[in-house]
Amino acid sequence: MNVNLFRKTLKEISISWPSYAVGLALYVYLILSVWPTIHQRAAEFEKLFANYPKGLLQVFGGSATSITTPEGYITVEFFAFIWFIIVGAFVIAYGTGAIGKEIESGTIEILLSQPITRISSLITKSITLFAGTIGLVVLTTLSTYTFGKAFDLNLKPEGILALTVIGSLFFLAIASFSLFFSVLLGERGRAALISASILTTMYIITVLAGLADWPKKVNDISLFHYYDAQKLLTSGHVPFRSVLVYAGIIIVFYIGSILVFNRRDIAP
Amino acid sequence: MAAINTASLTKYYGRNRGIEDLNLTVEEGEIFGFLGPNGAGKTTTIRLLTALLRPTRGAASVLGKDAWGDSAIIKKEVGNLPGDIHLYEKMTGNQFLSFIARFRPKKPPVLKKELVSRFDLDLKKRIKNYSKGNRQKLGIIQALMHDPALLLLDEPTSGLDPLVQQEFYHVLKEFKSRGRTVFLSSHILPEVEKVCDRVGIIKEGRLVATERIDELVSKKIRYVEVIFEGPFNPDEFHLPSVTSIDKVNNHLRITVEGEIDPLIKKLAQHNIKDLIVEHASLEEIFLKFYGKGGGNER
Repeated sequence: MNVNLFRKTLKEISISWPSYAVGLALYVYLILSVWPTIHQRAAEFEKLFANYPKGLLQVFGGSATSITTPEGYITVEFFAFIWFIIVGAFVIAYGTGAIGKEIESGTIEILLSQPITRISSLITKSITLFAGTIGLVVLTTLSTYTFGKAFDLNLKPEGILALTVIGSLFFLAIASFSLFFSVLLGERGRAALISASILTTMYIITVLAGLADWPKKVNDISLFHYYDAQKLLTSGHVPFRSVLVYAGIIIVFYIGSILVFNRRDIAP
Repeated sequence: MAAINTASLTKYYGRNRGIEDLNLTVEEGEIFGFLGPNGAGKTTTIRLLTALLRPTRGAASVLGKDAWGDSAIIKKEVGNLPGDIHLYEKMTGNQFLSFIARFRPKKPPVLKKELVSRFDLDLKKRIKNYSKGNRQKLGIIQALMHDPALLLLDEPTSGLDPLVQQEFYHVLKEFKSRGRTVFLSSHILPEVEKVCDRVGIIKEGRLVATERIDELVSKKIRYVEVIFEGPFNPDEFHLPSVTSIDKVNNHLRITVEGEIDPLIKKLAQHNIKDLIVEHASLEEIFLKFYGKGGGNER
């Protein structure tokens, strides 16, 4: 890792990362502040929840079965949909921009004119990406736990820990393939489009798999298939299969990024 | 040891030719001009030397080390000015130079202060507010400030005003006097003549000649346009270095190849109303000496 480049890379996210972090914490706070009302009128909301179309619940709630339990509520309102969009936006934007922006803008020529190897520059940039991603996940889960206590939405610490582990791996997998596509294509726009399209397609597959039988055959290729926020929060158990799939994706795409970047022509 | 050595260095972009079978040696301590029209392969060559591109075949060594495999080690001793430089827009000039300097902790930017002063650059401004000329100055300073053993400069005077260009030529000569090597690409013949010891001429991806500057000067073509005050006889200007004379009213357009001094002395015997001397373009020299197809390989 190159300390000089690391300092510069940290500065690059010195506005965007705190903005995402504050935004996430505020959103969690808002969602949790409604919990006492939901909890007090549990019977009414349970009835309302039961009347929602299955498709709608599947889109916004994943496998959540109730919004009147603490785990079900926070899953439907945040961890099954909104979280993907907010943290996913950061991860794809920064994952495709870390090296892609340098190539696209032509500054990579000045950077690689310095005594730094390509591998070192990519690792340095990706450390910020990975640390920033894990940071947002930890911040969100800790905010949920802490604010939850304030609003009497008590979650198990082991559940929060399990969600932090799987959530981190899930977003790191997205970061890895975003980085890979930007290195491969040498630009941000197309790489972000491909990454977002892959993610959206996977989400749709998982939603459809909850509604019909035929998508279940392809559901194994979806990252969302290995993520179940309510189950993680309830059981506090980290599923080995999920860890294996996410870790495999991270390793394959990260090594792929290094290999491609180390050999590709840099010609802005 | 040669500062730069290439052996059959070839680069193709898919099916498109970048450079082909480039065999080039640049000795330590010389200023080498790499001359050629746009698209000839000058930038490709520099990018191969700086490991920004991977050769299709052949090899290049820089300061005795493999240009591709040892690039990070080589760059400790190399200052590179990319052509059409792209800089970090949000940084100030000073932040940018400090960022670049920190990559070489053992080679402090000893010339930074002097170069900033000589090129009269305001380092407090953000780069996005710099003019093209000031961006180029900053690019030059970042390449030169740590007093590298080898300078790779791609069209270095692009965007500089004539006074700054002159200062830049002085700086290059000072580098040479300290035993440094300079590899400079350009498509401007007078620029290369001014500062270089030797010149390599690249055309359509192939090195068609390497010559000493004094040899190239003897091949120089100039167009001299003269407006006379009084009567004159065009025949008296048929001198050994004059290759053609065209008369239009009281104008003469004389083409000179090589020494211009005999013609100037001849013209001095007349009353001249106006005199314009133009250098032939590099393309015209190429067409004259190296043929359209680049077949006169030397």
